[in-house]
Amino acid sequence: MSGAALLPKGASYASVTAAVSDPLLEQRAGRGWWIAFAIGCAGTLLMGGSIFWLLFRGIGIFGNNSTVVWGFPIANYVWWIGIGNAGTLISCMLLLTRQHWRSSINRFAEAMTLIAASIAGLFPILHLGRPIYFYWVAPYPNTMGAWPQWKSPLVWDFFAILSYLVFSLLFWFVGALPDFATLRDRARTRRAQVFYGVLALGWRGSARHWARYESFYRIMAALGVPLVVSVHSVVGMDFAASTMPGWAESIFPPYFVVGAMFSGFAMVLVLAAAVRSFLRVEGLVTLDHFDAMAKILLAGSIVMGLSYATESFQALVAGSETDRTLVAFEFTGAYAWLYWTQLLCNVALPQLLWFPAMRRSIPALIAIGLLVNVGMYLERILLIINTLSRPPVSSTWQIYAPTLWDGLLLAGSIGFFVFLFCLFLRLMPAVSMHEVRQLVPEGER
Amino acid sequence: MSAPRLLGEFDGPRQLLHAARLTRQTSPHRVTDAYSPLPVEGLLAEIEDIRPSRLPLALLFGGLGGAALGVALQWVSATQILPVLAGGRPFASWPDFGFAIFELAILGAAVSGFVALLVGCGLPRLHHPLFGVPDFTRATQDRFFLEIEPADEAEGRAHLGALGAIAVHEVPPV
Repeated sequence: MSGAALLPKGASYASVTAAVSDPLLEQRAGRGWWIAFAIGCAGTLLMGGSIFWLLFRGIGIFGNNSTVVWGFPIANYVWWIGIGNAGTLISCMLLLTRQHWRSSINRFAEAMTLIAASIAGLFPILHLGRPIYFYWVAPYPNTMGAWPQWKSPLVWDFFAILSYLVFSLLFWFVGALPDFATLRDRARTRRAQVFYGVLALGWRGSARHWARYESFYRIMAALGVPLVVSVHSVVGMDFAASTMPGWAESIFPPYFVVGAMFSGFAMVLVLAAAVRSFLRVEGLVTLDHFDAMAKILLAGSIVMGLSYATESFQALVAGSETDRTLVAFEFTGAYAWLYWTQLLCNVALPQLLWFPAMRRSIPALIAIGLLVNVGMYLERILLIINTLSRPPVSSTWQIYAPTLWDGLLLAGSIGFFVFLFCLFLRLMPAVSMHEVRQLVPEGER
Repeated sequence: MSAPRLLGEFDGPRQLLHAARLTRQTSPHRVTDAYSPLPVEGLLAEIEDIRPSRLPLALLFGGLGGAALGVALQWVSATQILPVLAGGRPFASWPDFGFAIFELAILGAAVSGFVALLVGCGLPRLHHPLFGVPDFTRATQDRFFLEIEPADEAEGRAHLGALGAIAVHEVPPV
């Protein structure tokens, strides 16, 4: 796609700037935003209440039992960090491969990453029996003489999430610096001038600034890709470093990374539709963008299908008796209907995207995006409960069922995401203005 | 005392680059900086006294420092301070150490690169005399400014005007 094709006819520097900044500076929020914000506030309260109850009563409020020791909290963690991985991955990979259409979507995809990764980081902590001691995974000299066990994937997770959060924040913030300066210079109220002025740190767009900016941003993008791959690989290791059937699989790290990209792209599709309606311009996030994202989603779905098939095939052909028991349980056991739903959402439904009409229909894409995220949630929870319900010793077999609090905490975390994303839309430039300006054709200012 | 610096205001990146190039090649005036709402390719070569940025080095050394910290932290804690025998594995178990080393390397590179970016750009600096120039708010929106140190003020103004500047401003003293 050429750059000019991604912009409305007659786009100029001024029109691009106005399209992104006016909704923040000049216009009141629309009804859609207020409805989403109200839902987000309610969800945030729900999450706060659930966390309070959890801390008050302990992890007995969850559905976990003595056999299925992991349940919703770990599935929530993997699901959110998966969504959180996609933003930076999308943004870095598309920058390195010079996909110009990235300019319109990278900013909110990165914001999605930051929000989702922060929420994800909460769940392993909440899942601890004594969450106040979570800082024991950090290495620091202490009177107990205790140090982290470096052979534990949980410690790897701590480093991976910490690095990833700091990295994503810096990448996002530096990318937004020139846009904060634009907002500072366009703001008419004192409050907005001070707010964006402080965020812009005094950016002037000097040639010296741009040279350093570009050098920093490109190297960060190159570092971002292996970082993201490592983060979700480590999440895969949380499972693969064990000896449980269905977990101890060498395919896990890449399979987890693709899953993260897949669910993240599905989420970006949904958010792109939200941003497009919030900014009230069809010009910056076009149907061509949706078409390109849908193609990547389709590719992801094919790789996911291949991964599922490989998993089962390998267990049947090369696995032990416990592996075969597990595969039979997946397809015919207590949770089989969920497994079939997962395959439907993640593998079958996205095949509709072979049709160009589906790739250019926003309602269809929103539906597919949401269903893929449902499917990916099922994948994560089934990954946990299938294996744990069928451990090698059959006398310990147990079935898992989530409780009301499991559901409320998950729903609350989704509400909290909506709340933070609404704030982002209202306060931050949702599209990278300085990058879209580079797409404006020379003759048409 | 030399003449005050002048800012020529242009309406496109091509005009800005053209003006910078002509000023450097054919006039006695010095191009000291340029301000634009988007990066302009090739502009850097036209500005005097600009060194290639050493920012990549900051990222490199930050990354190496982070990795070294990861090696030292794990080796010291796992073999010297608190050796725990786990399944007969060696205390210094390099394959397991790899993850934290890699994450700390990237973290070190990102943080030191960010600090180097701020230091190199002279940020944060919330106020700057340039912000007093009328129209300079458009440098982050849709106008392109060329900053020159003219040999003579009147000549500099005439020169910028001849290059097609929409307006010429004086840069307030620091």
